[in-house]
Amino acid sequence: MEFNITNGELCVGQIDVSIVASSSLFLIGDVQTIQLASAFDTPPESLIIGTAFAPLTPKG
Amino acid sequence: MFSRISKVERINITIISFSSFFQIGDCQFIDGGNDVLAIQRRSDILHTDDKDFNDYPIFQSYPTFLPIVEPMVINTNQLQPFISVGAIKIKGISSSSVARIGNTDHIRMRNRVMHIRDISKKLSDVSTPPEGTIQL
Repeated sequence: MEFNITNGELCVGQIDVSIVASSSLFLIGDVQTIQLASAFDTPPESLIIGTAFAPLTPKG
Repeated sequence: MFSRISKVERINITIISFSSFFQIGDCQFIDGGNDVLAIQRRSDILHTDDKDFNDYPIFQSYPTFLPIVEPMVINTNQLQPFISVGAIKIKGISSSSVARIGNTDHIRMRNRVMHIRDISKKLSDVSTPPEGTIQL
């Protein structure tokens, strides 16, 4: 595959970003490769109601 | 590869937290990772008996980044040598995020978040649980 790019003038006045979070990326510049992966899980069973709370015990 | 030069007049960042960074200048490789296990508990007692990253399958299998081996010929023709930006305003950079001005060769970022909400029966009788709550 041959990929031809012609970059003309790039001039931006103002950028206003609230939050860049959770391994996100804000980049000004040239880049060759970017790989991003994200997994977010809040399944129904993540809400537990009525567990008998055990007192403080060390693990293991 | 000929890369452009980034010109930024003014940048304003309020907060950078949790292994995030702001960098000016060229770099070759960024490899960011962030694992979050958020346990919200309505309890006065501190618990240590539970919850490890290994208890949840989301953290056990890494999302695999496939190697980029596409045979590609990229011809870049830069008419202007600059990327110019007037003003940047960022309120927050958090949780292994990156804000950069400059050229980078390769970037790889990974993020996994697991939420647990643990509400005791006794307390949930007093105050009603949030709407949409599934009672197990």
